[in-house]
Amino acid sequence: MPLNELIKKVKKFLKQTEENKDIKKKKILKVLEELYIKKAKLKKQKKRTSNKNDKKQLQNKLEAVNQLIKKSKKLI
Amino acid sequence: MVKNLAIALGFLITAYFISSSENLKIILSGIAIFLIGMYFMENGFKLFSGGALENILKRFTNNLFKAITTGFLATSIVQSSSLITVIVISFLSVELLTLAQGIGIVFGSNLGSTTTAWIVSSLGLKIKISAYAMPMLIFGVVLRFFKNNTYKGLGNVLLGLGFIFLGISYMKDGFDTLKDSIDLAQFALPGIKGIILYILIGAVATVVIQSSSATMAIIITALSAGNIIYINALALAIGANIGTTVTAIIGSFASNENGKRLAFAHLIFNVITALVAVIFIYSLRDFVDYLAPLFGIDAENYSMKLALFHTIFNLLGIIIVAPFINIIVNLAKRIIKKKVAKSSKPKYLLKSNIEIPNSSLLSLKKECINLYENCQRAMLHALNLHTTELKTKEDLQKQLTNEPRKSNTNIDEIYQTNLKLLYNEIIKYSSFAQEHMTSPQQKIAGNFKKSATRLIEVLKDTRDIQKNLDFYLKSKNEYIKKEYNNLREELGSLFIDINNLNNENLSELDKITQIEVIKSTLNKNDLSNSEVIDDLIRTQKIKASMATSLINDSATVYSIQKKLVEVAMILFIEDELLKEIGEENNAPK
Repeated sequence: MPLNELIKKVKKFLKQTEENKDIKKKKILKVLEELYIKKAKLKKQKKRTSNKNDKKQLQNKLEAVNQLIKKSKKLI
Repeated sequence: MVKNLAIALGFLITAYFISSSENLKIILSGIAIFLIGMYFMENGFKLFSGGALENILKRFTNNLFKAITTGFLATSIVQSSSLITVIVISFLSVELLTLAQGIGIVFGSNLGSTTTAWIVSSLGLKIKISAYAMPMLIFGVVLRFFKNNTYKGLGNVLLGLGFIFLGISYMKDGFDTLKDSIDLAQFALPGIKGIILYILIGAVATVVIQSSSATMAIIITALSAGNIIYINALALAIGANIGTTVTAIIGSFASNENGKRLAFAHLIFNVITALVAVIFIYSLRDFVDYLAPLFGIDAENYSMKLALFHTIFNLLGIIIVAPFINIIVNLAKRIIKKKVAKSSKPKYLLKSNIEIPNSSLLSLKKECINLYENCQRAMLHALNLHTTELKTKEDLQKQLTNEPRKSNTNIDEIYQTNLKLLYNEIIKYSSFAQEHMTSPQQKIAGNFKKSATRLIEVLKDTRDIQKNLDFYLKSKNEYIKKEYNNLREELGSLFIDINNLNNENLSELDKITQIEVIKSTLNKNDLSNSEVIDDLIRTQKIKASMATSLINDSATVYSIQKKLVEVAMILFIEDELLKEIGEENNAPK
């Protein structure tokens, strides 16, 4: 394959990879937004609940959401 | 042996007829070329649409009118009601469509198939279509050399159209010259006897050719050449409509109960339509005569009048039967009941949708869930827990407090007699289905395969702990008994949590959160287990032999749990990005 064609192909590939990264980043940001909304909801629910068992379950969920937020941030 | 002899005899008889009459040879060649054309066309649209056809059928069918319209348009474009019916059966088998939606599409498809008659009668007979066939064949073959599936598909569509046109042209020539040698019109039968006889001939011909479009093409060409009289041609068209239901019935043998119900509904629809058409055949003929001038059809143009008759009586069928669609659905459900298989046979892996990536992926997913449910049942029995009474954690606590009996579950036997077949079929099916998939789809199918493998590993791991579990649950040492009961509780509890994920009302985000909760509990359990075991050894509450068994079995249970979480992630989370987030940094802290 001639060199200029190879360069063109590599450039195209890099551009596509960059575009795909952008799309993925946007999707992750959307997931993060949803996770923050979920976190806020869980916090509210936890405040309202007086039952110990429910509180523990909500705390577990809250920790799980925090974990997911951390993981999502790592992917950006 | 008998079958082979019958095939040989069939070939000999056909060879005799072909060699005895030049005209018959031309007509039969025309039919063969027409059928090859339909095959190419079907195949071409599958490749060309690249899943678009399935998406349209899935999206635009949320009410009966839309379902009928979609079925009509799709069949008019693709020119194959069989292709549409096959896709609908495959969607029904994986419950992507309701039976009522499926029936709606098939009703519309029936009407759509009448467009073939219009094409043959308007284009096929008036102009020399073989002249158009040749360029189509040339371009079709050229396009087939491309690697891209869209071009290849377009090539197949063109080849299909070319062969269909060529087939019609051959049939026309054959019937034209046949008329000169034998006057078939002398066999024309007027009156009700003739109608019944020709309905039977039309039905049998369609069953043999397996295509009502091909039968209609033969009828129209024979009619235009004057080999049959108009009223008999109308009866033949009614017969073709009945015969086409046999194709659907044969197709449904390979499908599950929903496919059979659809074939049943198709039969009901076509029989009712045919009955109405037979009863009112003369009135319908007069109605066609009245309508024909409005469509610009000459009074002597019988082939186009036949096409109009074909459309009108199918439309009439829809108008009459569509209001009773729910009654047909209920009747079909009552007559064709869901079979509960004793052994774990594959329920969703249908050959009919192996070439349709979206459907085959769904089939694989459903079958893996089926394997999961079967493995779960076997594992819980081996753990002395009863699946039917295990819906909530309270149920689990109740069962754990009962004194366990010795489990008779033989996991090896269950695997060999039931689950091995299911596992084999999943692996085989996904390997074949992956051939027709894009690389992201192949990755998803690969993950389903992985989940099936993990499930079998989990089953075998359970077999490894079963002996110790049975032994120590009967032990007089309360400490070791309690520890083994804890292992049962962990597994039982995990199954309840995972089963809760199999809920369509739960959002993907809720599911991934739940899996994260499970993972965190799992890590905590593993840490606490090792500490507890150390403590039990130090305080000499359990013997060293007990301790080593418990350490090994705890490790196995931990491995089972991790694999089950992996399976849950594959089977119950659809969003690939959420899966990636869930898997990120998954190693224990």
